[in-house]
Amino acid sequence: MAEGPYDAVVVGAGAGGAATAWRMTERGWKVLLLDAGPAFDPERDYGLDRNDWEKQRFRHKPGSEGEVTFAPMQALDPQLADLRSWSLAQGRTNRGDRRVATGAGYHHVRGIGGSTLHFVGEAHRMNPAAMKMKSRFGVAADWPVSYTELEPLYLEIERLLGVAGPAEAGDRWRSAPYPFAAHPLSRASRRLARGAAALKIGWQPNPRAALPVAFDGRPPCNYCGGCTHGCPRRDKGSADVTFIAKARASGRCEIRAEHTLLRILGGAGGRIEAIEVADAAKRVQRIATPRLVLACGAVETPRALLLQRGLGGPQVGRNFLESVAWTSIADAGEPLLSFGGLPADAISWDRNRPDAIPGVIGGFRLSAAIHEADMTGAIAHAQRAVPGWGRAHKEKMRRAVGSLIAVGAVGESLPHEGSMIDLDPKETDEFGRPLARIHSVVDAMNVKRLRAMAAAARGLLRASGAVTLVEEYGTYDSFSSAHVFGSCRMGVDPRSSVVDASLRMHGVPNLWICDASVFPSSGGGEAPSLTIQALSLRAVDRMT
Amino acid sequence: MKFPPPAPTDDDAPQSAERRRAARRIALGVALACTDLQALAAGGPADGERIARTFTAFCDTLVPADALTPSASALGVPKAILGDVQGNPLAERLLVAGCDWLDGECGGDFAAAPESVRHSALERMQAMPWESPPGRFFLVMRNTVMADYYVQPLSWRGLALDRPPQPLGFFDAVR
Repeated sequence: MAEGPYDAVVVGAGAGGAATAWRMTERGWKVLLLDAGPAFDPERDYGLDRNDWEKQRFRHKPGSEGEVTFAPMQALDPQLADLRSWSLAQGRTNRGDRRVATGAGYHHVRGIGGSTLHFVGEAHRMNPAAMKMKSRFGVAADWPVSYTELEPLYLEIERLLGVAGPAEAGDRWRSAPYPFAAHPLSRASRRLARGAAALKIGWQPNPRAALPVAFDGRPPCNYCGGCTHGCPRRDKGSADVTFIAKARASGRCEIRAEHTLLRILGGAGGRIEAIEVADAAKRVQRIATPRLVLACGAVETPRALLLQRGLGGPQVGRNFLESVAWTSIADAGEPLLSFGGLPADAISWDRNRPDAIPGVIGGFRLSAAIHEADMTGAIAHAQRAVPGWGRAHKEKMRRAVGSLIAVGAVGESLPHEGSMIDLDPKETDEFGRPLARIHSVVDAMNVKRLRAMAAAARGLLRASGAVTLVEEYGTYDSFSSAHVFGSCRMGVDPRSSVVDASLRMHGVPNLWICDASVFPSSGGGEAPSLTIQALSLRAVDRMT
Repeated sequence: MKFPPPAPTDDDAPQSAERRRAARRIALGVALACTDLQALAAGGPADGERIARTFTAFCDTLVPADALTPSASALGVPKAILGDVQGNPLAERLLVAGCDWLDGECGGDFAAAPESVRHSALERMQAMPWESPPGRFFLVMRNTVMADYYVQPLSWRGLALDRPPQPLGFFDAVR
């Protein structure tokens, strides 16, 4: 294990921080990788082999969820009742007349591996057509990095993770095929394929960071469907079993869980000199570093900068982008073992381009979504999908479990002046520091896109012969985001961005941000981890 | 990634960190954090035996035994929930309010009522507004009973999913 002095300190051990630390060790640097959350042991901690596996989606540990607050959100329009979330057994899930953050709201994991521990493992490249939103449509900002620059890095990461994907590249040209051929589609996704064929829309295997064969000391997937619970087999390409394992094996990376960044200390020439961190026992330590990388995500990274009173400039926290999503679940009327298979194994990119929906800026994708909807086990069926009680309810349960199918849509999120991260004026963490506060607005364009997404999801289910909807939910009436972006935007102009194209903070020569907060635009529903990692490798390659 | 909604909530759902922390501590979830329940009169001491009997009958009406699987009470569901509720004043008040309502609908003794009468009472309870204590009791307790029942392997007989996902996985799902 490396010990100080370090060539770099990376704060945040999720998708970006892990890739950054690994690349630094490849350069021969000694790296300290810190995370405020705990370390997880895949074999012990996830519980997919326990009878109570379904009671918790992801078994959080103490400290593995950061606290955030939410500013009051907008009143809901009675005219948009078709975008309200509901289930057959429970009725409306938001019974109020305002949009709210339900449950955790901001779904993330704080810890070694970050949110990749509970991610599905979609390994998406950005659609190049969605990287010039400002010049093409006058919204968001253009990416100062091109797809062409990212392509070799995407490929390198796909090879490191062991991504399995389809032969067709579509909008995302490739210099080489995926390392592995795509996983077989589940019965449920094959049923949806019939609907897609009837509608004449694409429905192809989704690129997935889950192994179809043994690779790099990791076993193949056994199609348990539990990716979002955490993968106990290590076949899912989460950051802990890939980048971090390799960084650790190099002998040049020291990894510290449960270490919270308290302060960033400046030195001469506008440089960062050191940081102060607190360990689990709240002992404070000063760590000097010639390079500092923040990789805490689009909520905590801006918070860390806002706590420094002005570090990063006035753009920090602005342009916050969230998940725009819709899911419809229906009864397919036949046993499909839909609880099994690889989550999100099939996808339609047809409406992913930003101009794919008439009259709407920003596209979306459709994918098989029964696992992400957590509609796999008996508890979810009984609580949400199968109404009633008594012996009749038990009979309906026996028909329903394994017979439900779902289509999810994830779309572009565009900046709004009311959507941002700031510091809560009242609430503080255990160290007395203000919490991050999320402001979120769903505007008219977002509503139009959500309408198109809901129509597409329902249409695909209908065309697949699944007529009875049992649950629908979306982000019109609730804030529910795993993918958040944009709050420390990357750009060439310091007046409208926080970091440059190499992810270096404008005006601070030794501070970088390697997470999704730098995204100038969200894309049309692409999962961000692969792009975060590609940008991170590129940043390290350019560091001096 | 698309996350499913949790149990129903309303715009009084806790948005502040402290209230969210408190809600997580409450075993029955965010759904209890509603002002009208907090305003429910605590009332005099509840008749614990009657409440337990009514609640057990409520659980077994929701989940009775059939040819393949046991009832909720045979798997210890009402007993566990009654234990969880103890010491949680809000949940205790909801429990008493719900059981009082059920007994009132069934001539003072829900547990002794014929099955058809109990089913009719549940129909009426389910139709009560979410804001009302009986309506809230029905939804919150139904969710809790279903979770505590279907977490137990003895309830899985006859379902296509009759074991945890690991260690075997589900290769059949992709064949």
